[in-house]
Amino acid sequence: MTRYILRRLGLLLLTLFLTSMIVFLITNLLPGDVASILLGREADEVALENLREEMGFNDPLPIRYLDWLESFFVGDWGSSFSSQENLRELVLNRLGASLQLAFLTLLLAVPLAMLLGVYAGLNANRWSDNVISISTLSVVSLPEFVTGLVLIQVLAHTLNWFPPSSIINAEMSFFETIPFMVLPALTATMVLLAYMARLTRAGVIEELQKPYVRTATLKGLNKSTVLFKHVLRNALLPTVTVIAISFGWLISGLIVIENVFNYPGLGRLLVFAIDTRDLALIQAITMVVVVGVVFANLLADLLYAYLNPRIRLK
Amino acid sequence: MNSIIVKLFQKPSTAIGTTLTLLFLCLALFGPWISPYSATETSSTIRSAPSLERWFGTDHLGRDVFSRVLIGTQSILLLAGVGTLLAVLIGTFLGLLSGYWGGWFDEILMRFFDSLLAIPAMLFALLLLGVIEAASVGTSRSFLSNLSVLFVIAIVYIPIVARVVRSEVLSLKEKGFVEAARMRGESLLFILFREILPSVLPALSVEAALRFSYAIFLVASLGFLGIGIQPPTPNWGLMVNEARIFVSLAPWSLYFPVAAIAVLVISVNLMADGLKSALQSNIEILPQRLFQSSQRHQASSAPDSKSDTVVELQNLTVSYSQGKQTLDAVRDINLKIEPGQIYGLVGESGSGKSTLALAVMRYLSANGSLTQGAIYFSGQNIWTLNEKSLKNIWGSQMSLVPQNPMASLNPSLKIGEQMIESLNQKDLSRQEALDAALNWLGKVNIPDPVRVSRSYPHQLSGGMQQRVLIAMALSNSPKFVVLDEPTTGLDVTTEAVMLDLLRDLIREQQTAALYISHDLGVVSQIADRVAVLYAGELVEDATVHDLYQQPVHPYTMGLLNSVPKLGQSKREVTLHSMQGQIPSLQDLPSGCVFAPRCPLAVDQCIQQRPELELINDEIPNRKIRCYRWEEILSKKTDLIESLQTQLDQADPINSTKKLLEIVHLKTQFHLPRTLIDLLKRQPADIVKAVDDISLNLKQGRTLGLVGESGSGKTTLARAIAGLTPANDGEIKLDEDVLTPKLSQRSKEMLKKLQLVSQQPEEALNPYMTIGQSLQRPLQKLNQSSDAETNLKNLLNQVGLDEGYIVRLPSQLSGGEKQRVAIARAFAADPALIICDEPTSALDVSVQARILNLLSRLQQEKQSSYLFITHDLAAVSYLADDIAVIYLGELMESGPASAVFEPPYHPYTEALLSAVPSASQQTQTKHIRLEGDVPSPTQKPSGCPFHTRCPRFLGNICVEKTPPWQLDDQSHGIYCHIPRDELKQLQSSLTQTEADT
Ligand code: SF4
Ligand code: SF4
Repeated sequence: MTRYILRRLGLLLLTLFLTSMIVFLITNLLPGDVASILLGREADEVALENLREEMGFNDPLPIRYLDWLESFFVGDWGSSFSSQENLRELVLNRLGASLQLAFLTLLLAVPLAMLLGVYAGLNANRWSDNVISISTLSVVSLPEFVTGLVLIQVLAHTLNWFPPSSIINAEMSFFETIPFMVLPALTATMVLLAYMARLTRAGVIEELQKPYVRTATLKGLNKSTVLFKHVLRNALLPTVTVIAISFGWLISGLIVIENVFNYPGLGRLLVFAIDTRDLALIQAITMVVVVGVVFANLLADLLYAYLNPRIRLK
Repeated sequence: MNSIIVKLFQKPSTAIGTTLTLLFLCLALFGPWISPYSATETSSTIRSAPSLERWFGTDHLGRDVFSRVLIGTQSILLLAGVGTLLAVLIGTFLGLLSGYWGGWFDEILMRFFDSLLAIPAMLFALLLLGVIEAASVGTSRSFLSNLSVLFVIAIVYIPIVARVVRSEVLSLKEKGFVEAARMRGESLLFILFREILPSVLPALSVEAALRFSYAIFLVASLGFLGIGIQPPTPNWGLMVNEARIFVSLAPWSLYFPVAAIAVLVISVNLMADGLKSALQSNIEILPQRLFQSSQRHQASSAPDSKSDTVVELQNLTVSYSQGKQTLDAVRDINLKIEPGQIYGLVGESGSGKSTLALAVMRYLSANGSLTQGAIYFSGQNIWTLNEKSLKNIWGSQMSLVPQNPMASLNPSLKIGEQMIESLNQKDLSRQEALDAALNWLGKVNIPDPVRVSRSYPHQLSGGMQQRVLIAMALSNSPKFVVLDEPTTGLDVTTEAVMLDLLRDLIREQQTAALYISHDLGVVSQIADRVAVLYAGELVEDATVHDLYQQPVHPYTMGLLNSVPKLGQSKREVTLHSMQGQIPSLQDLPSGCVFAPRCPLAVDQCIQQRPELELINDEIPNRKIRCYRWEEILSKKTDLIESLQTQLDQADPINSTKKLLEIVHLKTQFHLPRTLIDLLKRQPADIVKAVDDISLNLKQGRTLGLVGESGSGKTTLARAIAGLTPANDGEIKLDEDVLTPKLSQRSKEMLKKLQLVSQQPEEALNPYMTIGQSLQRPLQKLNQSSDAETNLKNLLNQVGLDEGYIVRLPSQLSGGEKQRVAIARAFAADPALIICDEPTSALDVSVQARILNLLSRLQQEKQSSYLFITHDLAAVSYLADDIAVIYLGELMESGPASAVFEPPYHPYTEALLSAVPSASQQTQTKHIRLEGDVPSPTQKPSGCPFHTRCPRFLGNICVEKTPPWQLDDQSHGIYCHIPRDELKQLQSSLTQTEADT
């Protein structure tokens, strides 16, 4: 197990290193020049050159990369090109809002997805499973903005249950923000739920076919014992990994959803950053998300290894 | 291919999805021409509601929504389609290379892909597009931004496609047909694109369809965010975004693009989903459903047996429904099992033996049912019981020892817990149950019950797992136990121990047992009575003694004569080979089921089905299903003589020319080290799969290489073939030194050495006809002028006619495929052919034909074989010389006659003693090996066999490598016991055996 953890940690560092390199290269190698973006097209050469020198753009690429990496991990992210706000504060602040949304979504989606998936798996190929399968497939297929708009139409405009967009400001307490989070979270839940339910169903079906289920049944055990103690123990084990896989999926979805509902999270900030061509902000957001995803994966891997004796006792 | 399209349209949801997808493609092609207005043309009537003229109304700028949706189809499908195509092309190429090459290229690429995948797709897309947008201030952006969307889709999906392809390649590159291509020196491109790619295509097309749907999704979402896609492009997502603001005024301009996106993506997904299930091989027998026990029957008859009969099958017919068809898997079975009786049930694959076993336990798969007859268990018709009474019988009165022990234990529960669960029927307290469990683990000879009870299944060896399952099945002292091939997959030495154990336990408890096996030899070791099942019918039913001494049914006779007996050689007899193969359930012959293969069939056999007759007059209580049994019994037919043709061949060629010489060959694998190990400079764990083996093979002879699993026999074969390069030592073939790596061998070297591998199912490229598969080596290595005639000759030599040239492997049976694989090996006219367990995946009746074929071809072509097997009888039949290996080291080698006579190496002695042979009776005390084969990372010092050796001498065996004791006939043994002493010890043993 220690061996396994060490290996995972090593891989994590490698992944972080490589991803940061990818992010850095994308923002530095593509055509265009930050200085001219900042000063506009008409700026004269001397001013441009001064700015480049000042920002270290003339150093060789590897040095710039290391500098950048160091300042990122030290927490010195600089300030926004456009608004001069402190980037770290801005990004972490918005990250908090996004995380709240993500957790609410997971809280709703995970148990529901398990239930649906297990139910469909146990009834594989019957009509109830067909209904679940086709509807989850359809929901998975819909882009989040479509689902979101449908929910706004129905739950906000027609039924008037929730506000259609998230007008949240810093003064509001956590509880006051909850009503504004419901619709975005519901939208994300729909998509995630369908995705995870499908994976769970496949897991249950696969597990049911394994010979140890026969062994257990032919011991004369109760069906509920066979189901809970034997089948689900193994079928739900990969769920940990499923949640981790869904995490990346969830983030992609949240970026869009936040923009549908104007929810003040990282996704909204990212689109704002792109609109204002704020490269430093784009970089910072990407790095924060990537670090989050990588750690979530690590956590899931370790948890899975801990729960699975075949890995734990290696 | 056609069948896949048919299947796609069978399921309504898939059919709808596919049709709609095609429709959208048409719209994309013709949309711009058929749309009533242009996408940007504005009219004075803004936000007008749908009407006959403006089907979908107009938007806030007065543009026609219908036209915009229609024209938008093209851009979204084009972007998504081309982007996916790029990803698929590049991803496939990288996946092929990285899977096939492996090594550092693979390692680096996969790490890189891992990192790319750590960035969520949408984030990555926004990052790239954001940077590109920022960089391209003011330039003409529409084209550039379209290009960057394409680029984004490709980059995001390349890693995913590459991984799918890579994992397919990893399993494909081990297959026989790919290795055969490598062994004839095909180019990398040929192997990747002709041999591997076709088999990757199914999985790839599913993945491509899925990626396509996600790409549409992504393009629409980017449009919605207004990034990478600028107005006034009629992008559906962008239209949604623009229409949102005016949703209360002109909801139609929002609804129609939303509907278009939804319908398109769902259609593509439904198609992909259908494609996936169409490509999955249809599982014929569905697993039993947890919440649905097989349907109950009404009681109609009563058992007609004595009251103490445990199990009685009465006119039993079990069927599987398949679509609209009902197939009778076993028919008209009558059988009675008494207390303490072990009833053997023998049949080849497809005979219905497992169906029968599960029907007896009333545990059939969901589509199976009892269509006739009844099964009585202690006088109760088990198929009329309700669920509760059934549950009371399962486990406590009736239990199962399954095949495949690893899969039959729950991987995430401790052994102790699983044992207790079996025992819990009896209202024991937990402590009592645990004690009983430990007691039982001890009874099945598990050395350390407490430790084992705290282990998980994966921590035990296969033999130990099977012991646990035996303990579980017998721990409630059931009245009846079904043993479903419990030793299949275990090594001979373990199998022998397991059979002893089962026999003793079952006798001791007076349990009735049904022992199912494909192996007549194994059954003869344990059963009292044997029923022979063929194509779903019992053809013969007799006591073990009668059956083996005097088989009556032609099929039984055939079976018994198609396995070589230990000591029988190809020079003395050809094995009996049955024509044809077992009929499929769809077209059973109307008369005797065996008639198409029976050498004695007469008209009556073909017209009318014989009954299972009781032939009490001749031999008490013996049943036969054959019209001609009287003639057979009175030996009026010449069948028995004709079964095994006696041969009187000259002695093996006594050439002194060493064709193959292996000197101190070593093949080692390093287990991966962690960074910490590297820092500590700890050496990696090394598996010495082949540890310093020297051997030679003389021209025109067959060298048999014998060993159990883990002995390194296959690694040795692969090292010689160059597929797993040796690390050290020398391989000399026909005076040339072979390079360890296949890729460095010259064409001349390649031509001299060919391989026939174990799995006929994987031996041939499923997408090439037999003709193509054989043509390639003929052209490549034989450079024959007349390929056509050569091809026909080649097929004739392996007993196949010209009709096979155009067939695909899927149209061939396992035995036929193996013939083609042999033909392919002979195509190069090689000096040496390595046969790696060529018969072990085949049914007994087919094995014989392959062994005969190999032996005939050797006679005709004077070729030499290296024959690798775990089957001692097969090796004794085919080999002129034998080498026995254990844990990667040579134990004994020499001419076959010498190896099978004392003095033996103690390991060889144990192996020989473990062989279950049909003729052998069970009275003598045999040598049984204790414990398991040690793990190859912790090889014992001194003599590697010392941990299990029954003749262990003491410290000397642990400390010193035993000497090579050679006699003048080049028969050698590695052992500390002098040859003479060994001979004396072992001859006296055979002597006592003969006496008893
Ligand atoms: S009944 Fe006829 S075909 Fe069938 S086994 Fe007997 S002789 Fe052969
Ligand atoms: S050397 Fe010793 S341990 Fe090895 S086979 Fe001979 S007697 Fe057995």
